[in-house]
Amino acid sequence: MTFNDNNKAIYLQIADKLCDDVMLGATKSGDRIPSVREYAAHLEVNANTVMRSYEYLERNGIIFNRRGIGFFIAENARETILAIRRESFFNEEIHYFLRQLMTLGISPDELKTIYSNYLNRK
Amino acid sequence: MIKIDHLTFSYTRKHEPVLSDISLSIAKGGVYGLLGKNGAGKSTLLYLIAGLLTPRQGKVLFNGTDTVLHLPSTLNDMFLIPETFSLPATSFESYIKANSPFYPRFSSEDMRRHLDIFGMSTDLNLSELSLGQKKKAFMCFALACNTSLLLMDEPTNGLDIPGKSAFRKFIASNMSDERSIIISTHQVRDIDHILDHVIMISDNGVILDRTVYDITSRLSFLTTTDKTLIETALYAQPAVGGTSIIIPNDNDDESPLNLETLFELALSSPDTLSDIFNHKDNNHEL
Amino acid sequence: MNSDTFCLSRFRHLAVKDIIDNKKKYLLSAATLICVPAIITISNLFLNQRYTFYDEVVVFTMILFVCGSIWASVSFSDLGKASGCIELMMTPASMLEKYILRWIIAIPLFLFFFVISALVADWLRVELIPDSTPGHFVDVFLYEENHHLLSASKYNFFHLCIVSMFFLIQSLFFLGSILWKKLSAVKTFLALLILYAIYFGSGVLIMKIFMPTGTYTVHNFTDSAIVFVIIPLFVLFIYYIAYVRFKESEIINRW
Repeated sequence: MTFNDNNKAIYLQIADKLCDDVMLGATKSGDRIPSVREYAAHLEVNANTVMRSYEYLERNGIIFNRRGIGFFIAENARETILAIRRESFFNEEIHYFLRQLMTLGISPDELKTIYSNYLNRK
Repeated sequence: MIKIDHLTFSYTRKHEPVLSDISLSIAKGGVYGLLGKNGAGKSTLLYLIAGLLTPRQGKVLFNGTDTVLHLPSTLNDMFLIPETFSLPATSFESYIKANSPFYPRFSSEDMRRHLDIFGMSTDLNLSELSLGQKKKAFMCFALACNTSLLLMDEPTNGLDIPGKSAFRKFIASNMSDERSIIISTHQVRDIDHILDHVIMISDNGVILDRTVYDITSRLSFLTTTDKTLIETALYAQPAVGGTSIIIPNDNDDESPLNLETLFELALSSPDTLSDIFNHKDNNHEL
Repeated sequence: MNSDTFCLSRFRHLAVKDIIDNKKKYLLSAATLICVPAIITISNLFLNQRYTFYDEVVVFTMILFVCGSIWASVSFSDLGKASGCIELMMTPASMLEKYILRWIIAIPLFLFFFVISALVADWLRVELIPDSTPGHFVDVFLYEENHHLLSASKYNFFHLCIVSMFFLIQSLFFLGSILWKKLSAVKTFLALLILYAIYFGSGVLIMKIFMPTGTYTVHNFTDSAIVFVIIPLFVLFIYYIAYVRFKESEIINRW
């Protein structure tokens, strides 16, 4: 895993990767994820960075720690991740898109139609 | 764990000091990168920490004991992996048998675990190994001694790409709160993300001594094509996908540390760097 | 492994490590020391039909001085290379232990192999050279009237002077080994030559100043006080200086 693809902090990139796995179904609720040390070795990063990732995920209720056994994916991790990403999208990523829409003069109704058609095709 | 107190060192009385009035402290549980240009004094500093050189002024204390005394109780708790070393022309097993009794915390189980990461076994004759393999074997032994301090001088020199990757895995899986690892290298790309402290030396002094967290909370390392950003950046150099720049970090977002650009910034404008850190230090105090 | 100065078990590990690291070197040296005099003895079979015990003593005295000095002068040669120096200094044993081990190898161990070598060559002499007088070395030294080892004869005293001189020279080469890591034997030899020249020359000069017309003889180091007291003390002092210098070893050579 290379870390300079984007300018985001590494511990967040690591957390994102784990979240991606959950969203894709590769890792399911209740699954055990690697220990801090194991994962750090796998990613070739300082163990404290992985620790930070895990703490972040634990704080947000995506994983939980069972003392002496390890870290596990929480029950409703998918929902939690979805909620967090939605919030992030509405707070940050969407602004650039909305500015573009405004600049290009696209009306809300046009947008609604395009989006509905897109969803119908899927 | 290590306290370096106003250390000055020169090779002879006539020459300029290689290191002048350096004070550092190394805490337990860290992975320290000791960076600097060739000839800056990185190896010299490692040798001083190990007690292999005598300071002209000042001292190096390891858990309170001066390392220049070469006490066995100090030596059995540290291990130095020099850039070039020679191994006797015996079997690996003999080597382990000869050397492990000196290290009270040596563990053969750890030894086997380390060798597994590199894909080697103890069933080897040391004289038949290539330089890279010798390095790996020696590193496995060094870590299996479970010393509190591990000093490595250019550990990735001579390792192929899978070897460098294995080295990073090695460090990542063996760092612990009880042990400190100091890696001296000029190949900053090899150790990018395994450090948690960065020490840079240049012109016989320390120009940077900070944790990675400190650095990334005060500086942002970005790759961008934004011209205004590039123009006002503290440092810029071309990179894949744009320009790698360093700008002060004014928000709470952290970016991945880019040791290469940081190093260049430290060398080209050390004053800018110290300003940034002192400025933010003062701000925090207010 | 408690004491930081000397610990027997740690010393033992140091010895084991040294043997494992230098197995080939020691075997080769021991073999050379035993075989070469034997070869010299055998070659004398062809060159000198009347090779006697006394010839052998001369040959062996030369071997003693030359081999003993060279062997002592390589005691610390591995400190000449950075990698060897790092290995030695970083081994978790005290400097005293490391020094004692090298001392044992340079002096008593050498003497042990030398004596074996002498006995082997001597045995060969008696077996291979017909009627070589006066018989086995052991017989001569323990039983013959005038040359009884324990008698206080002038002959014995002379031998002891040679032995005393040998220990002195050997200790100086041992010290030289730690002062000069490269070409130690040559440098020590030159240093001794220069020192002796200075000693001799200054002695002559002083005599010329204070007694310009008198004659003088060179003192021959045959005073028993010198042989039995001063030289042994001086040898111990040399070993002490070598230890002090060794303790201050660094990965570079400042001298």
